[in-house]
Amino acid sequence: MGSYFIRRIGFIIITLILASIIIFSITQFLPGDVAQVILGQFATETAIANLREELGLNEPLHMQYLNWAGNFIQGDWGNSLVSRMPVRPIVTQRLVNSAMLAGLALLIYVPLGIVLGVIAALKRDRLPDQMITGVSMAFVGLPEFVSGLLLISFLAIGAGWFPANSSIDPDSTFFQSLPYLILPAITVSLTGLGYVARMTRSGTIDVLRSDYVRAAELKGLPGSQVLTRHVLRNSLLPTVTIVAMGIGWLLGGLIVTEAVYGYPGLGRLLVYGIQRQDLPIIQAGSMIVVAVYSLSNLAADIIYGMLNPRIRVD
Amino acid sequence: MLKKLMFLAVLVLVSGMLLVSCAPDAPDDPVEDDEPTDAISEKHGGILRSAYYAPTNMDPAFFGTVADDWIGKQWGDFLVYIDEQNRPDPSRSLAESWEVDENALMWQFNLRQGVVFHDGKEMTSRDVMFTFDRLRDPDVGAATVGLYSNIVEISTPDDYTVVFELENPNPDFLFDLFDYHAVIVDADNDDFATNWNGTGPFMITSYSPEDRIVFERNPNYWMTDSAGNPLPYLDGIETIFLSESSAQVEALRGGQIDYLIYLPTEFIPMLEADPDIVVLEAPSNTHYALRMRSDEGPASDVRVRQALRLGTDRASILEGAVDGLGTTGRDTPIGPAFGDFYLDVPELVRDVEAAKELLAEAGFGDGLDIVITTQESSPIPAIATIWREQMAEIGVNVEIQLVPSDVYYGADNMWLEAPFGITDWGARPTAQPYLDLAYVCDAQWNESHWCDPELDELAALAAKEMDRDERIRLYHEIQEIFIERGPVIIPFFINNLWGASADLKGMEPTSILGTAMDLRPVYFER
Repeated sequence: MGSYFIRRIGFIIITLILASIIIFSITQFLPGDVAQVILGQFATETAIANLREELGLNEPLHMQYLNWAGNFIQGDWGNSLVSRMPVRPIVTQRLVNSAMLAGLALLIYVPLGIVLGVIAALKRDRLPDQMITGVSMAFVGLPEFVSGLLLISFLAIGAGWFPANSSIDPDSTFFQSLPYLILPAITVSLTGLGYVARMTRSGTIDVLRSDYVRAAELKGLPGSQVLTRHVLRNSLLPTVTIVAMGIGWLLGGLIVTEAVYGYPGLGRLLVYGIQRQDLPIIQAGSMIVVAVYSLSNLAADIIYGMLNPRIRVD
Repeated sequence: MLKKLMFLAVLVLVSGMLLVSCAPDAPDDPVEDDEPTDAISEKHGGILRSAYYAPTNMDPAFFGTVADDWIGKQWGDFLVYIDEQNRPDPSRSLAESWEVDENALMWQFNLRQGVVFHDGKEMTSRDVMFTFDRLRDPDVGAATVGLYSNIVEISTPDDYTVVFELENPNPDFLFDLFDYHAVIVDADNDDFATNWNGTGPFMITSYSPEDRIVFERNPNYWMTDSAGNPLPYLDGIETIFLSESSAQVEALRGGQIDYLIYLPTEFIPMLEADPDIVVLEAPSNTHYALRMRSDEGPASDVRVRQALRLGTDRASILEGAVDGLGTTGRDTPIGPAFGDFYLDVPELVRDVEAAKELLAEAGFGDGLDIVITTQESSPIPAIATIWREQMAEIGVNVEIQLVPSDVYYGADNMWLEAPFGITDWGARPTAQPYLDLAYVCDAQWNESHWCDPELDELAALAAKEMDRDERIRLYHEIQEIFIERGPVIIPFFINNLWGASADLKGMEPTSILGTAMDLRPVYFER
């Protein structure tokens, strides 16, 4: 177990290094020039050349990368090229915001999705199953800018229960932010719920068909015990993967939801950085997202092993 | 096992949230801390909450967007302020008075005394000279180098006097001094990207690149209202950056912001129906020029250009594309927002038969096929679609080529090359730049490739004419040329639109200066 863990951490570090190289290379191919973006289309050539020099954009590419990487490892994430502000406090603050939203969304859609998925599996092909499957599929297909704007018009502006905009104050605590988090969390839950419910349903159906479940039933175990002891811990395996992937998506990929609600999360920061070719912001933000993806996958594999001892993690 | 696991998961989540909720317990908003300043008058107090797009550059020399401009007008002042009726207003300017010599070459500005920057330093002629020298310095490279190339020298006879020596007379000089880059800055500032030490009514207390900007009231601001009370009335401004216009509008409808400085026309009917919101409107000179290449192709024949103009129904384009929120054009770039300079003639009446006849005379009696290059950004595709239907009736078959705006204005300069195109032209404080930039023969952006020696001559005279009546006459003559043989169809001039909560008072919509309304006299009615 210990050596497995160390090996996996090693892989994550390699992943991060590769990802940083790939992201750095891709940004070099973005059309336009950051100095031009900063100074605007009417600035003179001299001004643009001066700024390029000042920003270190005239150095060879590999030197630019190594400078960035060396500083990054030492905790100096650099200054935003556009606003000249230190990147680290900005990125970490947006990460905290994204974590709050992700935490709430997971609390909503994971338990609900599991319960609905199990119900659908138990009532397979009957009305409850058809309703759960149909409705959750419809939500998965509904774009977030549609569901988000609908929720805003009915629950925020119509009923007045929630704020219509979620631009939370940078200093506010989780509980101060909570009213602002609910609508965006519901919006992303509508998408996440369908995946969890479907995975749980198919996992549960497979397990229900298995011999050991039949044996448990035949030996006279009550239905509820069969479900909790024998079915669930096996049927949840695929769900764990879906949830782990969901964490990465929630932290860095909520571009549309964050834009519709004006929520200051990591996804919106990344889009801002990409639009302005602000390399330090793009690099730091995407490193965080890659790290979260890798760590949540690692966590998923460990939980896998706990749920199913046949999968060895050594 | 499973129960344990679930328990563990919940434990981790809950403790994680507690951690998150406890951690960033930073001090409260500085603006709220200042609460006990007793209200000076009943108009004083309150934080204006607004929403807009994020700025692109915070250094005045490199302002590029409306957001940059708007932010600059809060923390900065101008040597000369141009008012809502498009007149220089010394009472709102850093220059108390000014005079020009008889040759219109030496402009002397007498500065207001006792004006201090946010850091307490007094603003003097040295700061004014520094500001404009920086803006015209090719090594700094601001977009204003061309605008101020007519300045020979700036001198400061004393602390409160600035003299500008010009190469040629410029009747629009006062307007040029109100260019949005010309925020008067501190000559001792060494980093304009992060230090916004101005003399303006509000001071920036925090700025977070894609999230928000917070201003607080400048307690030492020099301006007072008519009762002698200090301005501004508001305690501060908090602007959140929202990249989606629908999110901006929903925040206004939901009561989370009080003021929106830009509104797309499609939201207006919904907002007008809301009793808690007022919509403010003012005509502007922003227009969408449907321009025709006049040096080659079918539109090089003036009869074709006139036929297309006769076949166009401007009112229905205005109605269909922007819900009628504007005024119809006369196919000249000088619109009604310019007051006396505008030639007020009746709108051209659509005449399908006359248009067909002209086309037949020009040899296109059997029909004409054209391609119009159109940007994807609203409302341009709507303009193109309605126009295509109108053209079909006079026998012109229009194919619409839709491209993103950055391609239209991109490296290939499609907007300067395509045979027909629709180009958006923003509001400018004076009429002259439209002619100089796009319509004289050797204009940098002569997108219609039109070259009319008579127009060139009149435009050159108007550029230097200091006598207002004579200048009006020249501009009217120029507009007659556009109407008789010009290269553009300008279906309408769009209105500037603002949304505000009903208790916000003191706003005066501006006709010409874009969306940066003066917030100094704005207050909440209680």
